[in-house]
Amino acid sequence: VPRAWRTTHTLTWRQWEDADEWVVFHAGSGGLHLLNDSAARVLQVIEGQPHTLEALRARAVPGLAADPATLHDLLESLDRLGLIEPEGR
Amino acid sequence: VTLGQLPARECSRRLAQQAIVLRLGPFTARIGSPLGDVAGSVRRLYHDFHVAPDDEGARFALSIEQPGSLRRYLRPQVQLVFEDALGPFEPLPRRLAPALVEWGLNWCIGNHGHEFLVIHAAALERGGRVLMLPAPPGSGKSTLCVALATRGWRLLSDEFTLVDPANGDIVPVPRPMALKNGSIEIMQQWAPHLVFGPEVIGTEGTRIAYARPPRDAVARASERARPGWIVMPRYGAEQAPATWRIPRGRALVMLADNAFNHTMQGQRGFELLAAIAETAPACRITYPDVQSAVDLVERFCSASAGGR
Repeated sequence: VPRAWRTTHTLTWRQWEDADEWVVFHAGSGGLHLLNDSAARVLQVIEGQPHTLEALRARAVPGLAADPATLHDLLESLDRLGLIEPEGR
Repeated sequence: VTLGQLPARECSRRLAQQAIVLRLGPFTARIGSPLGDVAGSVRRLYHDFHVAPDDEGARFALSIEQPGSLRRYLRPQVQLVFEDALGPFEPLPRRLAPALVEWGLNWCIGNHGHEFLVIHAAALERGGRVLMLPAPPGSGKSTLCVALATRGWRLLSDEFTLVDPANGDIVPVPRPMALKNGSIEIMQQWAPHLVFGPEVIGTEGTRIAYARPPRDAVARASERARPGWIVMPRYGAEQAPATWRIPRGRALVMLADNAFNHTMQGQRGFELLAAIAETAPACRITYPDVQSAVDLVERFCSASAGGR
Protein backbone atom coordinates (compact mmCIF):
# COMPACT_ATOMS: atom_id res chain seq x y z
CA VAL A 1 0.00 0.00 0.00
CA PRO A 2 1.59 3.35 -0.97
CA ARG A 3 2.19 5.43 2.07
CA ALA A 4 0.98 8.97 2.42
CA TRP A 5 3.38 11.83 3.00
CA ARG A 6 2.83 14.23 5.88
CA THR A 7 4.60 17.31 7.21
CA THR A 8 6.93 16.73 10.15
CA HIS A 9 6.24 19.97 12.00
CA THR A 10 4.43 23.27 11.90
CA LEU A 11 5.39 25.38 8.88
CA THR A 12 5.35 29.15 8.52
CA TRP A 13 5.24 30.71 5.06
CA ARG A 14 6.31 33.97 3.49
CA GLN A 15 5.89 35.08 -0.08
CA TRP A 16 6.35 38.40 -1.80
CA GLU A 17 5.21 39.56 -5.21
CA ASP A 18 8.74 40.29 -6.44
CA ALA A 19 9.46 36.61 -7.24
CA ASP A 20 7.70 33.25 -7.75
CA GLU A 21 9.41 31.86 -4.69
CA TRP A 22 8.35 30.97 -1.18
CA VAL A 23 10.24 30.90 2.09
CA VAL A 24 9.16 28.21 4.52
CA PHE A 25 10.24 28.07 8.15
CA HIS A 26 10.31 24.69 9.85
CA ALA A 27 9.81 25.33 13.55
CA GLY A 28 11.09 21.85 14.49
CA SER A 29 14.61 22.40 13.18
CA GLY A 30 14.67 26.20 12.96
CA GLY A 31 15.57 25.67 9.29
CA LEU A 32 14.50 28.09 6.62
CA HIS A 33 14.14 27.08 2.97
CA LEU A 34 13.57 28.82 -0.34
CA LEU A 35 11.13 26.88 -2.55
CA ASN A 36 9.98 27.45 -6.08
CA ASP A 37 6.30 27.84 -6.71
CA SER A 38 5.47 24.23 -7.58
CA ALA A 39 7.45 22.76 -4.66
CA ALA A 40 5.69 25.16 -2.34
CA ARG A 41 2.28 24.19 -3.71
CA VAL A 42 2.96 20.47 -3.24
CA LEU A 43 4.15 21.06 0.31
CA GLN A 44 1.09 23.18 1.07
CA VAL A 45 -1.22 20.41 -0.20
CA ILE A 46 0.55 17.91 2.07
CA GLU A 47 0.44 20.38 4.95
CA GLY A 48 -3.34 20.58 4.58
CA GLN A 49 -3.70 16.81 4.64
CA PRO A 50 -1.36 13.80 4.12
CA HIS A 51 -1.28 12.66 0.48
CA THR A 52 0.17 9.69 -1.39
CA LEU A 53 2.15 10.29 -4.57
CA GLU A 54 -0.81 9.13 -6.63
CA ALA A 55 -3.19 11.45 -4.82
CA LEU A 56 -0.78 14.33 -5.38
CA ARG A 57 -0.63 13.55 -9.10
CA ALA A 58 -4.41 13.66 -9.23
CA ARG A 59 -4.30 17.19 -7.75
CA ALA A 60 -2.43 18.31 -10.91
CA VAL A 61 -0.36 20.95 -9.16
CA PRO A 62 0.24 23.77 -11.68
CA GLY A 63 3.78 24.05 -12.92
CA LEU A 64 4.66 20.49 -12.03
CA ALA A 65 5.10 17.96 -14.83
CA ALA A 66 2.63 15.08 -14.75
CA ASP A 67 5.65 12.80 -14.88
CA PRO A 68 5.56 10.74 -11.65
CA ALA A 69 9.38 10.66 -11.52
CA THR A 70 9.51 14.44 -11.17
CA LEU A 71 7.03 14.40 -8.31
CA HIS A 72 8.86 11.48 -6.71
CA ASP A 73 12.15 13.42 -6.83
CA LEU A 74 10.50 16.47 -5.33
CA LEU A 75 9.06 14.43 -2.46
CA GLU A 76 12.47 12.89 -1.84
CA SER A 77 13.99 16.37 -1.71
CA LEU A 78 11.39 17.63 0.75
CA ASP A 79 12.01 14.48 2.83
CA ARG A 80 15.77 15.12 2.84
CA LEU A 81 15.13 18.68 4.03
CA GLY A 82 13.14 17.20 6.92
CA LEU A 83 9.96 18.98 5.84
CA ILE A 84 7.91 15.83 5.15
CA GLU A 85 8.01 12.13 6.03
CA PRO A 86 6.04 9.04 5.07
CA GLU A 87 3.27 8.25 7.56
CA GLY A 88 4.31 5.58 10.02
CA ARG A 89 8.04 6.25 9.83
CA VAL B 1 35.19 59.66 31.81
CA THR B 2 36.43 58.27 28.50
CA LEU B 3 39.42 56.00 28.10
CA GLY B 4 41.33 58.70 26.24
CA GLN B 5 40.91 61.02 29.21
CA LEU B 6 42.77 58.60 31.48
CA PRO B 7 46.52 59.24 31.56
CA ALA B 8 48.36 56.52 29.61
CA ARG B 9 50.10 55.24 32.71
CA GLU B 10 46.87 54.90 34.67
CA CYS B 11 45.23 53.18 31.72
CA SER B 12 48.05 50.60 31.59
CA ARG B 13 47.97 50.10 35.35
CA ARG B 14 44.23 49.57 35.44
CA LEU B 15 44.33 47.21 32.44
CA ALA B 16 47.02 45.18 34.19
CA GLN B 17 44.70 44.95 37.20
CA GLN B 18 41.72 44.07 35.00
CA ALA B 19 40.05 47.17 36.32
CA ILE B 20 38.78 48.73 33.08
CA VAL B 21 35.12 48.22 32.24
CA LEU B 22 34.15 49.70 28.87
CA ARG B 23 30.65 50.47 27.66
CA LEU B 24 30.25 48.86 24.24
CA GLY B 25 26.75 49.79 23.07
CA PRO B 26 24.35 47.58 25.05
CA PHE B 27 27.19 45.57 26.61
CA THR B 28 29.87 46.20 29.16
CA ALA B 29 33.21 44.43 28.95
CA ARG B 30 35.91 44.12 31.58
CA ILE B 31 39.18 44.09 29.70
CA GLY B 32 42.51 43.22 31.20
CA SER B 33 46.07 42.71 30.05
CA PRO B 34 49.50 43.20 31.54
CA LEU B 35 50.95 43.67 28.04
CA GLY B 36 52.09 47.16 27.09
CA ASP B 37 51.22 46.91 23.39
CA VAL B 38 47.68 45.78 24.24
CA ALA B 39 47.27 48.73 26.61
CA GLY B 40 48.54 51.15 23.96
CA SER B 41 46.25 49.75 21.29
CA VAL B 42 43.16 49.65 23.54
CA ARG B 43 43.71 53.23 24.67
CA ARG B 44 44.18 54.42 21.10
CA LEU B 45 41.21 52.57 19.58
CA TYR B 46 38.75 52.95 22.48
CA HIS B 47 39.79 56.57 23.07
CA ASP B 48 36.21 57.93 23.07
CA PHE B 49 34.51 55.08 24.95
CA HIS B 50 33.09 55.61 28.40
CA VAL B 51 34.77 53.80 31.23
CA ALA B 52 32.17 52.35 33.60
CA PRO B 53 32.82 52.44 37.36
CA ASP B 54 35.43 49.93 38.34
CA ASP B 55 33.19 47.98 40.68
CA GLU B 56 30.40 47.63 38.12
CA GLY B 57 29.64 44.08 37.05
CA ALA B 58 30.51 43.52 33.39
CA ARG B 59 28.55 41.48 30.85
CA PHE B 60 31.81 40.06 29.46
CA ALA B 61 35.21 39.70 31.08
CA LEU B 62 38.26 38.96 29.01
CA SER B 63 41.96 39.19 29.43
CA ILE B 64 44.91 38.89 27.05
CA GLU B 65 47.82 37.13 28.71
CA GLN B 66 51.01 35.27 28.00
CA PRO B 67 50.95 31.59 28.99
CA GLY B 68 53.19 31.16 32.02
CA SER B 69 55.47 28.47 30.69
CA LEU B 70 59.06 28.22 29.52
CA ARG B 71 57.71 28.44 26.02
CA ARG B 72 57.35 32.20 26.43
CA TYR B 73 61.09 32.49 26.07
CA LEU B 74 61.31 30.23 23.02
CA ARG B 75 58.32 31.17 20.94
CA PRO B 76 56.24 33.75 22.80
CA GLN B 77 52.49 33.33 22.64
CA VAL B 78 49.35 35.03 23.90
CA GLN B 79 46.01 33.62 24.88
CA LEU B 80 42.53 34.86 25.52
CA VAL B 81 41.17 34.28 29.01
CA PHE B 82 37.39 34.55 29.07
CA GLU B 83 35.53 34.69 32.38
CA ASP B 84 38.58 33.34 34.21
CA ALA B 85 38.84 30.29 31.94
CA LEU B 86 40.83 29.73 28.79
CA GLY B 87 38.97 31.18 25.84
CA PRO B 88 37.99 29.51 22.59
CA PHE B 89 41.22 30.15 20.69
CA GLU B 90 44.44 28.23 20.68
CA PRO B 91 47.37 30.29 21.95
CA LEU B 92 48.50 32.65 19.18
CA PRO B 93 51.85 34.23 18.30
CA ARG B 94 52.71 37.03 20.74
CA ARG B 95 52.59 39.69 17.99
CA LEU B 96 48.81 39.20 17.64
CA ALA B 97 48.01 40.33 21.18
CA PRO B 98 46.40 43.68 20.19
CA ALA B 99 44.14 42.00 17.60
CA LEU B 100 43.15 39.32 20.09
CA VAL B 101 41.17 41.94 22.04
CA GLU B 102 38.95 42.47 18.99
CA TRP B 103 38.66 38.78 18.13
CA GLY B 104 37.81 38.02 21.74
CA LEU B 105 35.09 40.68 21.87
CA ASN B 106 33.68 39.47 18.54
CA TRP B 107 33.54 35.98 19.97
CA CYS B 108 31.78 37.22 23.12
CA ILE B 109 29.09 39.06 21.15
CA GLY B 110 28.64 36.40 18.47
CA ASN B 111 28.45 33.50 20.89
CA HIS B 112 27.01 35.04 24.04
CA GLY B 113 24.99 38.07 23.00
CA HIS B 114 21.82 36.02 22.86
CA GLU B 115 19.58 38.72 24.28
CA PHE B 116 19.72 39.96 20.68
CA LEU B 117 19.25 38.38 17.29
CA VAL B 118 22.84 38.65 16.05
CA ILE B 119 23.45 38.93 12.30
CA HIS B 120 26.93 38.90 10.77
CA ALA B 121 26.60 42.18 8.90
CA ALA B 122 28.04 45.67 9.13
CA ALA B 123 25.43 48.27 10.01
CA LEU B 124 25.32 52.01 9.36
CA GLU B 125 22.53 54.53 9.92
CA ARG B 126 21.23 57.60 8.17
CA GLY B 127 17.90 59.36 8.73
CA GLY B 128 16.92 56.76 11.32
CA ARG B 129 17.28 53.87 8.84
CA VAL B 130 19.94 51.18 8.91
CA LEU B 131 21.95 49.98 5.95
CA MET B 132 23.04 46.38 6.54
CA LEU B 133 26.05 44.90 4.73
CA PRO B 134 26.01 41.12 5.14
CA ALA B 135 28.89 39.50 3.30
CA PRO B 136 31.58 36.87 3.67
CA PRO B 137 35.23 37.74 4.40
CA GLY B 138 37.03 39.09 1.34
CA SER B 139 33.95 40.82 -0.06
CA GLY B 140 35.18 44.26 0.96
CA LYS B 141 32.42 44.66 3.55
CA SER B 142 34.66 46.26 6.17
CA THR B 143 36.34 48.58 3.67
CA LEU B 144 32.99 49.77 2.39
CA CYS B 145 31.79 50.15 5.98
CA VAL B 146 34.74 52.38 6.87
CA ALA B 147 34.25 54.36 3.65
CA LEU B 148 30.58 55.04 4.44
CA ALA B 149 31.29 55.74 8.12
CA THR B 150 33.53 58.60 6.97
CA ARG B 151 31.00 59.93 4.40
CA GLY B 152 27.91 60.81 6.38
CA TRP B 153 26.72 57.43 7.61
CA ARG B 154 26.74 56.69 11.35
CA LEU B 155 28.63 53.53 12.22
CA LEU B 156 26.57 51.04 14.25
CA SER B 157 29.01 48.15 13.81
CA ASP B 158 31.43 46.86 11.19
CA GLU B 159 30.70 43.27 12.24
CA PHE B 160 27.33 42.74 13.94
CA THR B 161 23.78 43.83 13.35
CA LEU B 162 22.04 43.40 16.70
CA VAL B 163 18.24 43.14 16.55
CA ASP B 164 16.17 43.66 19.70
CA PRO B 165 13.70 40.75 19.75
CA ALA B 166 11.16 42.85 21.65
CA ASN B 167 10.57 45.39 18.89
CA GLY B 168 12.88 44.75 15.92
CA ASP B 169 15.04 47.82 16.66
CA ILE B 170 18.64 47.67 15.51
CA VAL B 171 20.97 48.32 18.41
CA PRO B 172 24.37 49.97 17.83
CA VAL B 173 27.55 48.37 19.06
CA PRO B 174 30.25 50.59 17.50
CA ARG B 175 33.79 49.32 17.94
CA PRO B 176 37.11 49.57 16.09
CA MET B 177 36.81 48.76 12.38
CA ALA B 178 38.96 46.00 10.92
CA LEU B 179 40.90 46.53 7.70
CA LYS B 180 43.17 44.12 5.89
CA ASN B 181 46.08 44.32 3.44
CA GLY B 182 45.75 46.97 0.72
CA SER B 183 42.53 48.30 2.25
CA ILE B 184 44.59 49.81 5.06
CA GLU B 185 46.42 52.20 2.75
CA ILE B 186 43.32 52.85 0.64
CA MET B 187 41.42 53.96 3.71
CA GLN B 188 44.34 56.00 5.03
CA GLN B 189 44.15 57.99 1.80
CA TRP B 190 40.36 58.03 1.74
CA ALA B 191 40.09 59.43 5.25
CA PRO B 192 43.43 60.88 6.40
CA HIS B 193 41.97 61.82 9.78
CA LEU B 194 41.27 58.17 10.69
CA VAL B 195 43.29 56.97 13.68
CA PHE B 196 44.72 53.48 13.37
CA GLY B 197 45.94 51.02 15.97
CA PRO B 198 49.12 48.99 15.44
CA GLU B 199 49.34 46.85 12.30
CA VAL B 200 49.76 43.13 12.98
CA ILE B 201 50.52 40.21 10.68
CA GLY B 202 47.95 37.41 11.01
CA THR B 203 48.79 33.71 11.09
CA GLU B 204 48.27 33.47 7.31
CA GLY B 205 50.36 36.52 6.53
CA THR B 206 47.42 38.91 6.32
CA ARG B 207 48.16 42.47 7.43
CA ILE B 208 45.49 43.62 9.87
CA ALA B 209 44.87 47.08 11.30
CA TYR B 210 41.95 48.51 13.23
CA ALA B 211 40.64 52.05 12.82
CA ARG B 212 39.20 54.04 15.70
CA PRO B 213 35.41 54.40 15.30
CA PRO B 214 34.16 57.96 14.70
CA ARG B 215 33.58 59.87 17.95
CA ASP B 216 30.01 60.74 16.97
CA ALA B 217 29.17 57.04 16.46
CA VAL B 218 30.49 56.19 19.91
CA ALA B 219 28.66 59.09 21.56
CA ARG B 220 25.35 58.04 19.95
CA ALA B 221 25.68 54.34 20.72
CA SER B 222 22.39 54.30 22.62
CA GLU B 223 20.42 55.65 19.61
CA ARG B 224 18.66 52.75 17.98
CA ALA B 225 17.30 52.73 14.45
CA ARG B 226 14.99 50.77 12.13
CA PRO B 227 15.93 48.47 9.24
CA GLY B 228 16.37 50.41 6.00
CA TRP B 229 18.33 48.62 3.28
CA ILE B 230 20.37 45.47 2.70
CA VAL B 231 23.37 45.60 0.38
CA MET B 232 25.61 42.60 -0.32
CA PRO B 233 28.92 43.97 -1.58
CA ARG B 234 31.43 42.07 -3.67
CA TYR B 235 34.77 43.60 -4.49
CA GLY B 236 36.66 42.62 -7.62
CA ALA B 237 39.40 44.68 -9.27
CA GLU B 238 38.05 43.67 -12.71
CA GLN B 239 34.35 44.01 -11.83
CA ALA B 240 32.26 46.66 -13.51
CA PRO B 241 30.19 48.65 -11.02
CA ALA B 242 26.73 47.05 -11.07
CA THR B 243 23.62 46.56 -8.93
CA TRP B 244 21.19 43.63 -8.93
CA ARG B 245 17.99 43.68 -6.93
CA ILE B 246 17.57 40.68 -4.59
CA PRO B 247 13.96 39.44 -4.21
CA ARG B 248 12.71 39.59 -0.63
CA GLY B 249 12.48 35.82 -0.17
CA ARG B 250 16.12 35.42 -1.13
CA ALA B 251 17.09 38.32 1.11
CA LEU B 252 15.35 36.55 4.00
CA VAL B 253 17.28 33.33 3.40
CA MET B 254 20.50 35.32 3.10
CA LEU B 255 19.84 37.04 6.42
CA ALA B 256 19.23 33.67 8.06
CA ASP B 257 22.47 32.32 6.58
CA ASN B 258 24.30 35.22 8.23
CA ALA B 259 22.48 35.02 11.57
CA PHE B 260 24.38 33.53 14.50
CA ASN B 261 21.43 32.59 16.65
CA HIS B 262 18.06 32.86 14.93
CA THR B 263 17.34 29.18 15.56
CA MET B 264 17.75 29.79 19.31
CA GLN B 265 14.98 32.36 19.06
CA GLY B 266 12.69 29.88 17.30
CA GLN B 267 9.60 31.25 15.61
CA ARG B 268 10.39 34.75 16.93
CA GLY B 269 13.78 34.66 15.22
CA PHE B 270 12.12 33.86 11.92
CA GLU B 271 9.51 36.60 12.37
CA LEU B 272 12.23 39.16 13.10
CA LEU B 273 14.25 38.23 10.01
CA ALA B 274 11.12 38.18 7.86
CA ALA B 275 10.17 41.64 9.11
CA ILE B 276 13.58 42.98 8.07
CA ALA B 277 13.32 41.37 4.61
CA GLU B 278 9.80 42.80 4.29
CA THR B 279 10.91 46.32 5.21
CA ALA B 280 14.38 46.65 3.76
CA PRO B 281 14.90 46.47 -0.03
CA ALA B 282 17.97 44.38 -0.87
CA CYS B 283 20.54 44.35 -3.63
CA ARG B 284 23.89 42.89 -4.58
CA ILE B 285 26.63 45.19 -5.83
CA THR B 286 29.92 44.52 -7.54
CA TYR B 287 32.57 47.21 -7.57
CA PRO B 288 36.18 47.75 -8.57
CA ASP B 289 37.03 50.56 -6.13
CA VAL B 290 35.72 52.26 -3.02
CA GLN B 291 34.32 55.39 -4.67
CA SER B 292 32.16 53.39 -7.08
CA ALA B 293 30.90 51.23 -4.18
CA VAL B 294 29.89 54.32 -2.22
CA ASP B 295 28.18 55.74 -5.34
CA LEU B 296 26.25 52.49 -5.91
CA VAL B 297 25.11 52.37 -2.29
CA GLU B 298 24.01 56.02 -2.34
CA ARG B 299 22.10 55.52 -5.57
CA PHE B 300 20.36 52.38 -4.33
CA CYS B 301 19.42 53.89 -0.98
CA SER B 302 18.10 57.08 -2.57
CA ALA B 303 16.12 55.24 -5.23
CA SER B 304 14.50 52.66 -2.96
CA ALA B 305 12.44 54.00 -0.12
CA GLY B 306 14.33 52.35 2.68
CA GLY B 307 12.27 50.96 5.52
CA ARG B 308 8.89 51.86 4.13
